[in-house]
Amino acid sequence: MAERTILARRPLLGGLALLLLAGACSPTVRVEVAPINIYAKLDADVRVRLDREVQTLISQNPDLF
Amino acid sequence: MILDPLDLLYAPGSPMNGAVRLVQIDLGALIERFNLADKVAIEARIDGTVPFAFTNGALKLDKGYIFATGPGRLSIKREALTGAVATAAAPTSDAPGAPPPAPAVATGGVQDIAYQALENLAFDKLEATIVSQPQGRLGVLFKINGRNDPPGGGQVRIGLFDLLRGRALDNFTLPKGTPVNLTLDTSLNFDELLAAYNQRGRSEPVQQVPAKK
Repeated sequence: MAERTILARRPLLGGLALLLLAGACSPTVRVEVAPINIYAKLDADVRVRLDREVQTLISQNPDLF
Repeated sequence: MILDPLDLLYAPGSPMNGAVRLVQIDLGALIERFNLADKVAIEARIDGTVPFAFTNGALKLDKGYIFATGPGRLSIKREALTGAVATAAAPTSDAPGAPPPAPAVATGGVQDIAYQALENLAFDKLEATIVSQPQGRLGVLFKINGRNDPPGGGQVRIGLFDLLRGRALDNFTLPKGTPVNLTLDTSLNFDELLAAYNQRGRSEPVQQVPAKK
């Protein structure tokens, strides 16, 4: 009787073992990217920035000039 | 900055030729003086030589060469760039002044990867050539070798199913340490800046730019 019970549970145990095995082999891929070569273009029309103190002074005194 | 000896001819209209030697210039502090600082940040000290010719009231630079004296960092926000970035073929020549390789415009996830690399770049080598361009602009062509170095980060894993579906690059985070070879082709409104500087020099005493600490 006991032997029959164990035999009946075999598929269940097998399924559990398969699940554990699948969990251990998680389906992810470790990524290593080869050196990347980038070309970028930056055309800038730059302006000299006023110091923060000067900006504050002008904003506080709009009729300064 | 050191001004090398000049060649001066007394004949009217003769060009004045010379060269400026740059020693330990803090490029980051320099950029902070301009409105570009909101989009570009750099930590680098540079040396180099910039030959110039002053002819008929116009200042032209040619065959200038600068290089970083040590490792540094560069961060460029994507909105600072002109058009889309491109993934380029490996350069055929490392010689300064060599034309950049023919770029292929990156799209989608690949473009996003390139932007990520530009925003968190730690470099070991930076060099650039400087030459005057038409319409009063100054071209500076940087060649930078470094690696992606975002804060935090580490190994990147992507799902096998995303890989199989061809969605591996969607929301892909570029792994920390990925080698990056960047060709950064820049140009500035040099003549306008000179004119503004001269105008400022007439109206007020020139202030010394404080060194960044």
